[in-house]
Amino acid sequence: MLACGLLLAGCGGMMDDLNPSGADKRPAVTSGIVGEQPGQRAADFSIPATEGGTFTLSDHLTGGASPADAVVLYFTMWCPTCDSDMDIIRSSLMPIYINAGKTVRFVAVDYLNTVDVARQEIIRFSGFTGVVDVGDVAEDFFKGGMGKTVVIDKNGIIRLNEDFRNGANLKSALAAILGG
Amino acid sequence: MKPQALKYLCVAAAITVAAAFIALPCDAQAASCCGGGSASTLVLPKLGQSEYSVSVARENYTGYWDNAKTWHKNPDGSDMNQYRLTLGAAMRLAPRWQASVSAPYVWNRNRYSSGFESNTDGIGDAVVGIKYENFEHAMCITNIESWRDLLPAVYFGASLTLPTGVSPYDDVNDSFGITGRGFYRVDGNILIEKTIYPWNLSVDLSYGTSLERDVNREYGNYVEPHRKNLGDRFGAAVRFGWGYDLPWGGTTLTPSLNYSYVREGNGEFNGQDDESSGFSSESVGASLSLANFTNEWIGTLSFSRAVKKNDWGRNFPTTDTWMLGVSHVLYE
Repeated sequence: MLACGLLLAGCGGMMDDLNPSGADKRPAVTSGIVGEQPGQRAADFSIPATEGGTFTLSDHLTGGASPADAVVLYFTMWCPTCDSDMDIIRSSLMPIYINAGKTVRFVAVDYLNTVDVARQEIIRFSGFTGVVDVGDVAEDFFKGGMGKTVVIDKNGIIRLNEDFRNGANLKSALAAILGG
Repeated sequence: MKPQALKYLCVAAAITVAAAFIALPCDAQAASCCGGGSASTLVLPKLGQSEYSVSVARENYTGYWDNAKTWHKNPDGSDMNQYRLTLGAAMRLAPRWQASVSAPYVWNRNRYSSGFESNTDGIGDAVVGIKYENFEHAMCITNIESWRDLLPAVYFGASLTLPTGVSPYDDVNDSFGITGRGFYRVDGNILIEKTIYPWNLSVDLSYGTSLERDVNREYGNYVEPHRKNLGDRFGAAVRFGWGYDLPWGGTTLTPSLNYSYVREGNGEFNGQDDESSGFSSESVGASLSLANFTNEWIGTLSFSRAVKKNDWGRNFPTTDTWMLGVSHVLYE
């Protein structure tokens, strides 16, 4: 027991969970400038798409070649958590915008695999555009990772950047953009 | 029967309870990204005064079940493993009461097809526990002479999981650095064990609930503060073993087979149901335990496999786990 106690006492960084804080420690955000926080402007990026060619964010914003009302980036590693989140998006959220005649581009961002592997995985997730974050461009900018969900409006302003929880915040962010 | 004689007779019983920590993990260990690394509680044999245990484990991630209980293999080119070194100790507080503590140290080793590799390590979630033995003497027998001989040994336990591991709410860069779930959890547990030498059967049932907590950070990024909780967890494990007396030095070999099931309900986020978080998992396994003549030293090698078929789990990784452990029981 002594050894276990010493082991516990000797490990730093565990106090956050032993004594959780509810303090708001988010950094101050300057709206409108390029940055990853809500209210800031998303940096443009181009990364390979699983269907071939390149996915360029600005193509899907106002003035782009294929403009959408909103773009949702979901960072996936094809794990059970990711699968579950994407399933909720497909079954509960996508139909809302399709039925409302809105164009929301749902993008599954694979930040760990090759294009060939991502192409095999995206097959099961119809409705998502598959992209592969070669060079970690999107991951580094949005501080992405498993389950990270980013909502970008048609003007390129980030409206949400957080881990997927139960879809409620994603739905609210899209409602704020699209109305309803 | 005199206690000393019982000590030597109840090999299978001693192995079952002493090695339960090693060979019969009621908790789902899987998933560094989904919260693994917690330890099981150590159980002291009836006549033991204290016990120390060390085990090493390798858990290889083979795929996962989705929410529809369909099994999928991991992406081609990926190789995900977790290694654990778990230390445990138990001591007798009173003739029918015992306490234990255990803590794992976790190494996560992951590789993906893009060439990405992650090697992280840290302490996992520790567990402290207390158990009450609902029997006065060892309950193992060699012959059935009356119905009372069929009564099993029953242990009632309670444990507290401490969030000593690295969770998504710590200062961690990504999901690969996670070694714990970040929540306090209280479990009630009942272990029922019966040995009619050389046969042995045990059933381990547990139910636990996590304590809601504040969250203001996810994977190193500060977020809007919110309250979060995990779902309640139910676990069950059944183990069947039989002992062989080996022809040297009174050593006993006990092979056993086991089945375990764990189910966790949906968690909550600011009081809202989080339907993406609940899971279930079923696994089967086998173990070999070797005990010396006095049952003071028990070594166990075990293998556990989450069944890679549809309908054997939901929203959870499947893994193959090898464990090798040694327990030292002090009877004086």
